[in-house]
Amino acid sequence: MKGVVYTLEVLFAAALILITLTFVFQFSPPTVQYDIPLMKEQGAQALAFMDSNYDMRKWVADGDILQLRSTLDSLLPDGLNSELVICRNECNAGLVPVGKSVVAVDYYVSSYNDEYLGYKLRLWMWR
Amino acid sequence: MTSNLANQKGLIQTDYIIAIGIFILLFAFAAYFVNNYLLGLRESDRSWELSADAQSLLSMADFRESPAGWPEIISGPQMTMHFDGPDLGYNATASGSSYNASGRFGGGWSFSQGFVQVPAQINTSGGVTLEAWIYPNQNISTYSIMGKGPEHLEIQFSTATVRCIPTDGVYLDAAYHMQAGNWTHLACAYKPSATAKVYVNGQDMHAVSAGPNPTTTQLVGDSSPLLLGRRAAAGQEFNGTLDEVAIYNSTLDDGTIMSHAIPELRLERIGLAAKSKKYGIMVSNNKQYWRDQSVNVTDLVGEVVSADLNLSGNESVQVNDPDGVAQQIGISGTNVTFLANVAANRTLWYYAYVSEGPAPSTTNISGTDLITETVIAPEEITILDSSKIQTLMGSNYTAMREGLGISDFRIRLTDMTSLNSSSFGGDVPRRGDVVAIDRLVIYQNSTGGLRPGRLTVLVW
Repeated sequence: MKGVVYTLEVLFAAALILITLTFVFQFSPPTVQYDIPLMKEQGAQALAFMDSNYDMRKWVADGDILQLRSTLDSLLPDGLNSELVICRNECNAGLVPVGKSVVAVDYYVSSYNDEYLGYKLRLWMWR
Repeated sequence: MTSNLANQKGLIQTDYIIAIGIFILLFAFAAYFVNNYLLGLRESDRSWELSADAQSLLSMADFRESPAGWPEIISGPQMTMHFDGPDLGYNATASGSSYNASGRFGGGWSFSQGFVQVPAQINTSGGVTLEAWIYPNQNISTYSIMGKGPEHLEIQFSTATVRCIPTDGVYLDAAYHMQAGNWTHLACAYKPSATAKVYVNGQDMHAVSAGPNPTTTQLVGDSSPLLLGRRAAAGQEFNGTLDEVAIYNSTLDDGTIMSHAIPELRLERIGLAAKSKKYGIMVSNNKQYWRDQSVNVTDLVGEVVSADLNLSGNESVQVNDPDGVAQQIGISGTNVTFLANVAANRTLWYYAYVSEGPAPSTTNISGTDLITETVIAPEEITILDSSKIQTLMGSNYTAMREGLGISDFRIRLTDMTSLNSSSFGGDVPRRGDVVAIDRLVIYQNSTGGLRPGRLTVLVW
């Protein structure tokens, strides 16, 4: 009988240790969020690429936001949501979700050929 | 008593089993959480390292080194002559040989029964090293790639032997079968009574002295021209390409020759970027742009557009229409010409890209010339240079990885239109941590055309 009680005591002690371990190690240390800076870089590069390889400045000059958005969608990775607006100082973030990590990138478009524009493209991205 | 004990035993056994069950359950929970904790730590460390390597590699799209200098192969104050690029220098003249884009690093000089002649008195009294990258087109029994005067500074190949003849009657023979269709680095270092070596791809081939004179024979200066592509005596012409031919007035050490033969070992960074100028050309079919403003504006078909882009004749040029489609072009002096179709009262913007690289294929452009076009000052854009891409694709992966000191990697360049891709690097493992990052680029293809592409780096 003593042996059984002793065994139960040992098991109880071991259980306490395990419970303690479980509580101590239940959460991994916070990992670095690689996707946030990557997202920002991808957005900036997609806008720069659109400027170099497509007629982006003309679309900005014409206010052709649909063309800009569809081209940008084809350049950004799948699974990345985005919202793009043409603005100057204040940019309307109406469609940007609340409660998510959102990355914003500004790309300034000062001119289109010999015409001064003074616009910027504000791109928001989230997963 | 016996009955109570039996009952107690049963009870005790039940408790015991329950306790063990709880214990196993707790153990499983503990193992699960601790494992997750450790896994998180491991992933965190490994991903960070791999991600940093991938980002570092991907920056190749931003960094540029000179086309001839990636990787830098030849250097050192002892260098007497170095032949690379379309301008050979040293008052050299080419006969039956030409510069083309297919060198070991960038362009090279191709020979077919021809040669390059260099009028030079070469001072090699302190020793000499001859060096070249060689690409034979055919397996010919005997040929020479260089020579001077009566068997001086000469390198010969026969079926199974490389022979270096630095001076009178000194034959340094190394057993090696040169394969057609491959680049081979060859070096020969000679200093009387001190050094008599032949290197193939950086390896000392332990050459033997097979000539009538011993390896104590002094080097001889002579005023006869140095020939590339054959020896001084007629015959033994080389059929193939030479690149990075160099003559040093001293004997290079083993390590230096190895680093010339496997330059990837010295790489600190890969840089593929080059600059391109992007010109906007406005073709406006409105009244004020007509040369003769007394006539009515009509649709223009086959209007010749001529734009002065300050061309020097050594650039790649591409003109895209407003839909991004490359146009047939002609080049006349500093101008590029092409045809445009513009409806009445419409304005179209064409874009011309001028970059370093191979000259474009041109055609004779003719048509009407009724309006005046406007060229906007160029903006500079970054592209991936075709010669550097070719150098990367032809590099030694293992040596490059060791030189860069990073994890295993694979670099892939995919054309966004045709989806054709070319890649370089190790085989991506099916299991394990692999970090992949990509970015959009404009790259120059082998004919100098600019294409949209996606550069992907995988690291594991």
